[in-house]
Amino acid sequence: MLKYITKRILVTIPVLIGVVFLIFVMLSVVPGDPLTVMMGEKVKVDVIERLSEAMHLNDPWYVRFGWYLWDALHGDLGTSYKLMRSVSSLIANAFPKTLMLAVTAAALSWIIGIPAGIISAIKKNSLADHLFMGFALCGVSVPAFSVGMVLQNMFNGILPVSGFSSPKHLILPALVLGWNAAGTIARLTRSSLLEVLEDDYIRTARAKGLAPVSVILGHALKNSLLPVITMMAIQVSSLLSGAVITETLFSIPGVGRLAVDAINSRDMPLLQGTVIFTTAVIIGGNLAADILYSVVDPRIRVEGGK
Amino acid sequence: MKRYVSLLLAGAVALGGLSGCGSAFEDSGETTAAVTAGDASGDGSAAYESTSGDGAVSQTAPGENMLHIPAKDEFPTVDTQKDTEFYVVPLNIYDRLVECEVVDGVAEIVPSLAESWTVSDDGLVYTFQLRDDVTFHNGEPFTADDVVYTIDRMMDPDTAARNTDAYSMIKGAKARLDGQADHVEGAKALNEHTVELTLEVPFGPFLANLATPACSIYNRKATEAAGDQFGIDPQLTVGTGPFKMADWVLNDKLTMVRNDDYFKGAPKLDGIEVIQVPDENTQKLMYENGELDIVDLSSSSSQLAYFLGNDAYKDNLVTGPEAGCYFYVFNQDMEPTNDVRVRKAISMAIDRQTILDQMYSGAGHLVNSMLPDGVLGAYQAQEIPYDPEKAKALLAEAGYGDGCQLEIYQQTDNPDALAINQVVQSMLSQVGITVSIKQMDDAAYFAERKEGRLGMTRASWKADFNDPDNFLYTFFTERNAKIRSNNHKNADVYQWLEDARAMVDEDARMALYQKIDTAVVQEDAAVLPLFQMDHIVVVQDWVKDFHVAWNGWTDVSYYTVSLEK
Amino acid sequence: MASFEQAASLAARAAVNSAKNGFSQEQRLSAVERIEEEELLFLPKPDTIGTKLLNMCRENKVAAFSGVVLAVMAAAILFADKLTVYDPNGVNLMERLLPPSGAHWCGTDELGRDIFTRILYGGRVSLLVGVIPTTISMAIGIVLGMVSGYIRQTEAVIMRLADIVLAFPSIVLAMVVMYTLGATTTNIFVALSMIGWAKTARVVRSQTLSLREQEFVEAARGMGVGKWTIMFRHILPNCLPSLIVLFTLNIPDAILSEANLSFLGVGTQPPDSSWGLMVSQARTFAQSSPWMLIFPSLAILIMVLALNFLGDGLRDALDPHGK
Repeated sequence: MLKYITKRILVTIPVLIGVVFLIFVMLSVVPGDPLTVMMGEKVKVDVIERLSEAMHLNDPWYVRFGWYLWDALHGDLGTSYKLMRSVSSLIANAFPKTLMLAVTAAALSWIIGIPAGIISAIKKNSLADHLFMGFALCGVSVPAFSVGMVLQNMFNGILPVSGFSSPKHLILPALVLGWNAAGTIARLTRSSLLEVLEDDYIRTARAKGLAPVSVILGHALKNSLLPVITMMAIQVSSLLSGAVITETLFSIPGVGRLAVDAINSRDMPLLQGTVIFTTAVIIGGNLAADILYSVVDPRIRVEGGK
Repeated sequence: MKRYVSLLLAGAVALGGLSGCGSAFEDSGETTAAVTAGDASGDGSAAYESTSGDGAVSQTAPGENMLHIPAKDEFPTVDTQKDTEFYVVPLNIYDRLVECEVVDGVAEIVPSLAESWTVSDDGLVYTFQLRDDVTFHNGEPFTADDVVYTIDRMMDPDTAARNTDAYSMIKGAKARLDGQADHVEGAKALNEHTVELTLEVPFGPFLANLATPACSIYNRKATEAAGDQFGIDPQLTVGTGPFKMADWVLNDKLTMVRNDDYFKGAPKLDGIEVIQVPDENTQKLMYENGELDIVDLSSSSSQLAYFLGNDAYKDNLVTGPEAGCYFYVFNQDMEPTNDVRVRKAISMAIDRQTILDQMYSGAGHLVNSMLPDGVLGAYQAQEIPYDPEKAKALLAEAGYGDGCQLEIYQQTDNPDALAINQVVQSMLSQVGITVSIKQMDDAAYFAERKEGRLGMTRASWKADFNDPDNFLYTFFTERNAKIRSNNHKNADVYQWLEDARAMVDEDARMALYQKIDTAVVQEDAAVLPLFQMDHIVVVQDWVKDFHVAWNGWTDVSYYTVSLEK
Repeated sequence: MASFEQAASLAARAAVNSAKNGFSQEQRLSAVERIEEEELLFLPKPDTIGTKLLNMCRENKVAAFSGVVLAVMAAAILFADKLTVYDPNGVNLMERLLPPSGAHWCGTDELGRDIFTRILYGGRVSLLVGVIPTTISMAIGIVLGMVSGYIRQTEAVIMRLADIVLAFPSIVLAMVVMYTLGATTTNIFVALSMIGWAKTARVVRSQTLSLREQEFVEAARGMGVGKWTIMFRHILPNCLPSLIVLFTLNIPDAILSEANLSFLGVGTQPPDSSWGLMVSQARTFAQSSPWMLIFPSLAILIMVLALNFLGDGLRDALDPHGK
């Protein structure tokens, strides 16, 4: 098991380097430099020239890439051009907020998604099926910002619509993200349950004369939730990175906001830092899913695999 | 089934542990104590605050007497030497030697940290008598050495300052910046409370310039000790101003608290919270909730019509002048705007009054010069007419009788510019000009502009300091004409702008600026001045004594403001 | 991020079946891949697709109805110029922000343009953004997926590349691409194609891996048929059912991604319009003129929901496990 995990982690290193490389190459051809955009209307050519020199902004991208990689491998993600703080401290401050949002949103998506999926599966192709699936799918069928704007205007005065200074501030953004993810969970629960319902042992249970509801809850659900649980680990990690839009709309000081601001201000160290971090979280989430999977189902061994 | 439940629980606990539970909210380590004093987030937050703050005791009930104002973008630092854009915090935590204030309807330079000053007859030597009763937030007394230090720090190449223009006219400043000197020669402390500043050449707007936030005065001891954390770490950032930095949660909010020892007397507010609200509609929603006390509609112009058109807010609008204007800039290195006839034709084909009335609820007036009312040297310029027929004739004369293509550039995520540009697009199509709107993100936009490659674009300028130099020099010297992408070519204007700076006779100086303005706007049509807006701010009933700043900046000092809830 | 979300999740139901089938090849696949594979790895004979679709229409009325809704919307969008009387970009400052009325069914926007007209014209962009990048990205994904599954030497390179794309926060990647290339509609296609191919490649590779061991492929190989012929003649047709499903479910992703890009200012450029751009432009007027927000949102909702129902219905119908 340990060997497997080590191997998986080692494999991610080239992926991360690839990600860093990709950004460096692409952003090196985009017009714009961090100093000019930061000075904005107060543009002063001599100041920009002097500071660019000091910040090594005039070096070719491959030189900067080399230095960046060297520092990063030594655990130094650099200093944000725009925010003038160390990238690791910026991420360390922003991440708990994004995580809080992602976990709440994930919980909401399960609360909405799993019951909707179960009901839909039991009443396959009935009105209830379509209604519940329709409700769950609505969240994935409109852009998150449009749901967000509607909620902001509906709940203004009842719930906070911007910022992140109390648990109440979490409710609306988590609802937006959670509803968005609920469609996926509902779909998965439904199809997984449908499949189990066709299995022989369920038929046997039915034949024994057990009531349908207890059949479903006692036997089918147990097995069908297996992939759903695996999905949850993957989902939390994808929610973490998916919060970009929601964080922007609700002005939540999370990692997604940092990333978008970093692109807009050509803040290479900050962009690299957030992307590396988010990518690592996604990869870690998938790894966690794999491990969880093998723990939940002892028939599966991630290594060996007989 | 139990196994799944316990797994779920375990997962939840693990995630909760990772996030440190409550610490996701307002977590800023040791500085939390100060935040709590000003927290207004309501009942639910108390439990969360107490988990991280150790013995946070507030001197006042949370939110009772705190002012809440929005900010659309996060500031990197409140060190004004290193930041050229965001001044709301500097204006409240630092002081300048002099300030610019409206006295009897006219903007004037008034004493602040300097009690009085004298200027030599040749306009080169400024001697400031400083107050002796001022202390910094760290308890240090304010002395002449702090002024000298502040100037030296700006010009010290190791500081990597961005506002070096603020002192570059002082003798020896440029040498210091280039590393050829170890101090600024022209800045001297004559005694503990007297400072003498000597200029390289006379500079008419020097005093007005000293009143800008860039010239905020720092404390030598505190600033040296803070190093690169000055302006970033709230506890290390020290000024003399009416408020002190207390806490800063990046991208969320910045808290300032009252300075009881302020030399002009303690402010009436307990503090100020600057809350990050990038979205204009959200700002409006939060104002309606009472979560924001003041919303400046000139930086939130999409909400202007809503507040102006709603009788309920009639008594909440505070208006004032805005020493600035909107205008279109033409690039004279690009076709077809390299032809003065085309520039004039475009100017005549745009119905400015209709735009002002329909898009801005008529809250302003048209201008025909680059020197708006409220700025020294403002004058009655000849009106630029709306005359599409004459525009067509001019275009035909210029060889564009069959129409032409024009590109208007703008920043993305600027709905206000977009709306106006689309209106102009449709107006210009009436005279045969096909406009395409190019949107660029901020970084690309400013980079292209710096190289002189931006096509026609809408710009605005608000006075930093009260002098025509701030408007005309900024746009029309040879070098600035390029980096502002107008590429205006008029050697006389270049020369006059330099001459005017060094003139000591005020009347002659203003006359020259009017001549420059006429040449640039009327004769060369380098820009099309659009309108000067009324500065409109919506404030809650309980906010008293709020005044619009002389220049109409959104960033103002809230020293005089009080709340009556 | 919706695309990663859906990719991972499209319906993650692997475990039980995998356990039953033993683990000859699943060992090399991660949980995500196993889930994807299980969901889309079904191999009905191509000639039964038509029959199955008929069955679906009979049994799953909602899926059938969704198909009809989509057809109607597509027709309205295509014939926008016949169905509307206003100029979609015609500025009329005297008719700003009018609520819905007989003259303006969905009201007018901040420049006095008719919103109904703009929805129909904007639908063209949204529809193109849904179909074109999906087609391109799937074409790339199919080729790369088959190659990496069939020619084992290429697997490491192609799949690592796919890993990079899938692990990258997709909206950030799309933004960077848009900045690099410039914000035009064509570049939206490019950006979304660059993100979308990896998911398809993974699914196709999984299928190729199992198909290459099947008897009919071995037989062809034994007869000396070239590998490209095997891939395109024998393997590809057998992937078709799952590709059809994937196609219907990828379109909504692309439409929503374009909306997100427009929200962040790097999507469709005015005065052109897409539904996503209309919604994001409504942002500052959301409260005072809600119709600017509601109607374009509804247009997206209806189209994407219909696509989702249709996709789910197709999967139920084409997937042999589902019955």
